[in-house]
Amino acid sequence: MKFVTAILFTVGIIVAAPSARKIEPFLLKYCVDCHDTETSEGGLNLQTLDREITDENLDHWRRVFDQLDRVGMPPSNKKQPSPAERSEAVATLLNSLVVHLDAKSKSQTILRRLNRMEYRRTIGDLLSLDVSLWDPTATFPEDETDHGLDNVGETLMTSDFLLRQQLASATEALDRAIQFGPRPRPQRIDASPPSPHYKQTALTRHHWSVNSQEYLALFAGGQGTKGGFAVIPSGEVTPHENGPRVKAWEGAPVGGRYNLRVVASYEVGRPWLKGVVHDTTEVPTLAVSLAPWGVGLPTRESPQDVQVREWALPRNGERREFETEIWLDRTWFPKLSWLNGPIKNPNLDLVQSLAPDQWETVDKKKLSNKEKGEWLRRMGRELAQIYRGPSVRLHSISIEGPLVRKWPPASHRAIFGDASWNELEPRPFLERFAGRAFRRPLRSGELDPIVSMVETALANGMDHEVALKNGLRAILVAPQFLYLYENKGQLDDYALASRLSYFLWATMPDAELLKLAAAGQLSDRRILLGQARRLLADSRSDAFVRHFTDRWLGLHQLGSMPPDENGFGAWYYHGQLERNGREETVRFFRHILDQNLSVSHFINSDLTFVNYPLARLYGIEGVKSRAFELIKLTDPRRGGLLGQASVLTASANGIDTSPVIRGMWVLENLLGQPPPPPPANVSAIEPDIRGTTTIREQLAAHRDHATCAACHRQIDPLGFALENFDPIGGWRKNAPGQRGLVDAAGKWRGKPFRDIVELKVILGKHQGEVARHLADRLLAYGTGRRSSLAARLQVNAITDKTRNTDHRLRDLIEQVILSEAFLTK
Amino acid sequence: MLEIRAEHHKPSQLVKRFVAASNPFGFYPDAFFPNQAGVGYELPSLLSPLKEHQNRFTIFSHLDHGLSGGHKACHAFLSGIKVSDARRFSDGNISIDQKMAGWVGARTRFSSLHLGNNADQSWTRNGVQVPSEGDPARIFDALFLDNTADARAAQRLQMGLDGSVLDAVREQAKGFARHLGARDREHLDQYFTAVRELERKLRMNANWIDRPKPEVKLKRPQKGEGQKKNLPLYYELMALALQTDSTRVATTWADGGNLLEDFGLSYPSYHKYSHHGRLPELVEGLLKIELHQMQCLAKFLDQLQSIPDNLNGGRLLDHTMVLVGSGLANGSSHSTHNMPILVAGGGFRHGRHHVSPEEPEKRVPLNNLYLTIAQHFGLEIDRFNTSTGTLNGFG
Repeated sequence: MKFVTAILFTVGIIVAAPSARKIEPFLLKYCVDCHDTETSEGGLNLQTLDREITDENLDHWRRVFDQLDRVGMPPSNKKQPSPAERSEAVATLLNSLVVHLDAKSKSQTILRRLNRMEYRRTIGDLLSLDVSLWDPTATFPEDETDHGLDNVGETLMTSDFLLRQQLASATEALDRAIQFGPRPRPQRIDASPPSPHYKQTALTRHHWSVNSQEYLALFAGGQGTKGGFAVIPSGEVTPHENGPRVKAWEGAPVGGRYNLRVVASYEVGRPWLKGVVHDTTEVPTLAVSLAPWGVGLPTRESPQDVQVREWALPRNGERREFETEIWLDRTWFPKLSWLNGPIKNPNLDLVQSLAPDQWETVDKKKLSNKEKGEWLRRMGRELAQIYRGPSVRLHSISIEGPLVRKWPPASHRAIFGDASWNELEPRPFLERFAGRAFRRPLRSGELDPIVSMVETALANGMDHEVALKNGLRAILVAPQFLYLYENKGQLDDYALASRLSYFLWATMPDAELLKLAAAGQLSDRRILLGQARRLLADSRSDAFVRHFTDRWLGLHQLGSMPPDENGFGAWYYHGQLERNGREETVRFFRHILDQNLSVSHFINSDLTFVNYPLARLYGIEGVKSRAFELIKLTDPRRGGLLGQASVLTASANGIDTSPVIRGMWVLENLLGQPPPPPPANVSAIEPDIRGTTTIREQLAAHRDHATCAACHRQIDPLGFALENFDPIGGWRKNAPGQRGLVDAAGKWRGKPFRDIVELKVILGKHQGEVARHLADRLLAYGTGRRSSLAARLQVNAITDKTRNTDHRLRDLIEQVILSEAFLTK
Repeated sequence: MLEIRAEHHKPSQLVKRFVAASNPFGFYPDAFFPNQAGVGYELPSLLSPLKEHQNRFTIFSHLDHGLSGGHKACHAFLSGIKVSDARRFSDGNISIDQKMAGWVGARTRFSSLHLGNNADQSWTRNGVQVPSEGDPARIFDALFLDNTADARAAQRLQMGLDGSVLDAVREQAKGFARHLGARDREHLDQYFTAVRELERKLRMNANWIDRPKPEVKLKRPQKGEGQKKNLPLYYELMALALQTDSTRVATTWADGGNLLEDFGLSYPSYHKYSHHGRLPELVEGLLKIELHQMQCLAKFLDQLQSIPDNLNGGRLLDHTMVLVGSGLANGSSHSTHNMPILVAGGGFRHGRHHVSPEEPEKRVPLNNLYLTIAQHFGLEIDRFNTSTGTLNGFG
């Protein structure tokens, strides 16, 4: 019997009629028992369902397909087909479905608007602007997504809200780019030794005046504490009744590159443990963050902080000099903090317990402001006298800039060359700019509406600068700039240049790509592949690595459900785990890509990247700084994506974990087999963490229910295996609402496992499914289209080519680029 | 309070206003829904701050949109349609406030106002989320701060420039469209619509540039963090905006995420408390937060009740429909069934706990209530999104 069916199925693959007749024996053998006229289980009657696939019965056949494909049916208590039988049936039915769909419409990329990230990077490249701090899309509405992807043409919308913001951003971008003014003169501020800004924490200020004016001391970590950041003193001092106030440098006078120089050391201090929570395993680290002036207190953490440097200090107190060049937008300034200092600033109350003789008990409410200020100063000075805890000392801070190497700047020359407004002929000027902005040569007369707008304005006496700038603005909101133009059928070389560039760089094609497009060479497969490799080797492809991992794994949702700051969440903040966890996954993906390793590493791997905060979370010893290190994992629980903090946090909600949600995460993002959503009339499980019923018991009841069981036996076991990880990815033996030790055992697709380590062995056998899903995501991301049944055939073809070499990641990406779907609209 | 109904006016001649307030995690059902139906019900604890207004609001049971998806369905609170399903409906997933705002148009300076951090409840018919503003100071400026003469001149100049850019790019788009296939052209329609809509809004705005803004006593508020500080300000600003007829449609929301201010709770997280899992300590904390929201609402109703309505006579509350609820019915189970819904004011007959049928086959869509509200507002429509009629026994 098996022999016969095998032959039937082999024949089925080449048959190209939209018919499901070829899987008749399969249906009879495994399905019709329940889905017959009598019972019609789940509302499906396979006895009467027409075997010719039509528009009317398409939904039914899709359901059949999905259930077979996702191993949802037959239920576990019924006769099971062998994996080979199943995959034959799936392939056959897929072919038939695609033939039917093909007859209707071809899958294609719908006109794609630049999404926020692409817009930001394109504006940066087109105008040679540094957009690392300035986000021209900050006020744009969120991009619409399709299964997590935010670059799908069909789903990305344009609205008047968006257009209004795009118009405003075009104006601002041009204002930043165009610099007819005189060359800015660099300033130099040298604070050696630095003095404290008056908004510094009391201990820092008093220590400076009481103990030493040779350096500025930081006594606690900046991040997460109230205060603790040092800013650059401007040298200006104003008198004040509570003592002179030192003004800070209030940010860059003009946008540009600045040279920052800092001399610092670490002072271990006396063993000072009372009230000082301080993890000294990690090497003391000084961080540089950038922030705009005027948003909150400069010496505190603000939501706009961008942490750009992490400098390790010698433990032995030696001074170290750091020098770095940073980009600062106008009004942005650098601030320094002791990244891993004690969690709380030493408190005035310490005086009370350590120098009780000096402590003055007062009722603060009854004091005048002046009296209160004096009392605070007296107690602060006392504290400075007695406190000898650990600190970071800043011996010198200086900043110099803007460092102007060429004037006017590149952004200006990108538009004007050396010309001035009045010398410009509107048409050639605008057409030259539009050619770059539109990423291809203009068609004849294409820019006429904008050119004539400018010419009319000039004829009406409008100022040259105003009129021409308005023309540039119009180009930046024209559809040819905001959308990626792709011709029908085989993409022409320019469309291909943009598709490749937006795939791997998330920005416009560079000169080399455009040159190849102009020469008509890019569609040559060999050249295309060479360019793909060049793009991947360039640091601009970090945009792809970051953004794609974010979207594939749902990591963009990190931060939307932040963990609670107490308990396990404390280390999430002090260890900056959102940032570091994401970085681990990005580096991991980058490594697999660069080394062209098998996608099986995503399921299980013996390597990863950690820095101290992650190492502490994972219980790994020997990594002691913020610098990431490639490590060989000895702990089998951590290998692969399912052991990474980023994934384990994104698949929880910051508060608690749910086996259903984590199980769904694995099915959806790793295996690409999401079960259908629960029927609308099913009520959700209400969690009960008082301990009367465990989630496992609740879910067991769920799985006893036939309607629920079909999907939940797929979902829940995967989630149970991950129950040993808390909501930020720390290992736990007990979980809230569970009696005794966490029970991570289960049975998935018939195979029993005891814990995550054993589950990963089972999942390892499903490497092909992981590769297929990854190829599907890469293709959808690379072409900006939804994945569809038709794309499924392409995806199968791609993974067929990489199967023999264990689906190596770079091969997979290259096969995506060479696929017909990528090369056509 | 039957006298609230202004019998001497036809409803259509009155100027009606609409306010919607929501939160991301629902209200604790046991403390929100009364145990008795009809009039004279005993106030559950969450409604106790509203005691004085009991005859000026109605509580609704067993209404919802029939959606599932937990947090992911929350954005459909005011529309009943998820973004992902929008394309199946002629009006997309337009929310009730936008339906009304479209009707109000340029009659007020703002066709609608949206207060709150990243509220995602307001949607246009094109499936576009209407952004909300979380900074009370910026809302104050937009409503009440007059620009200088120079700034107004610059605004007019800018408007002229923007106008010609929009003209030019419309022509650009026409040329562009000629090279596109049918489906791309269809997609580019959004661009043409956006140009047209923006032109319309610029024109609407033009009429308001030189009109002075109303003077109010309130000082420019400072931005606070979290709902404890911001929600009362949002309500106050809405009351002033309605009083000065700066708008007739406003929405607000008590944001989720981590609370940064002190509710006297041990965990700084609204979300954490919503996941109470029936643990008494957490339920108590959640109720503190929800009670705060109800206290803010009570103060808002006090205010609307005390302010004379200069357009209609009577009090502001008589002609302002206030809808309160959430896209999530129960933050702990993530259920979207039996959403907590309260409607106050507006001239409806209130004072009841309105209970709709519970049986699956007899359930009433929440959109039936929205249709009733929309008609009362003056819209001549007989359907709103998934509605199947108006709501029986309410009007």
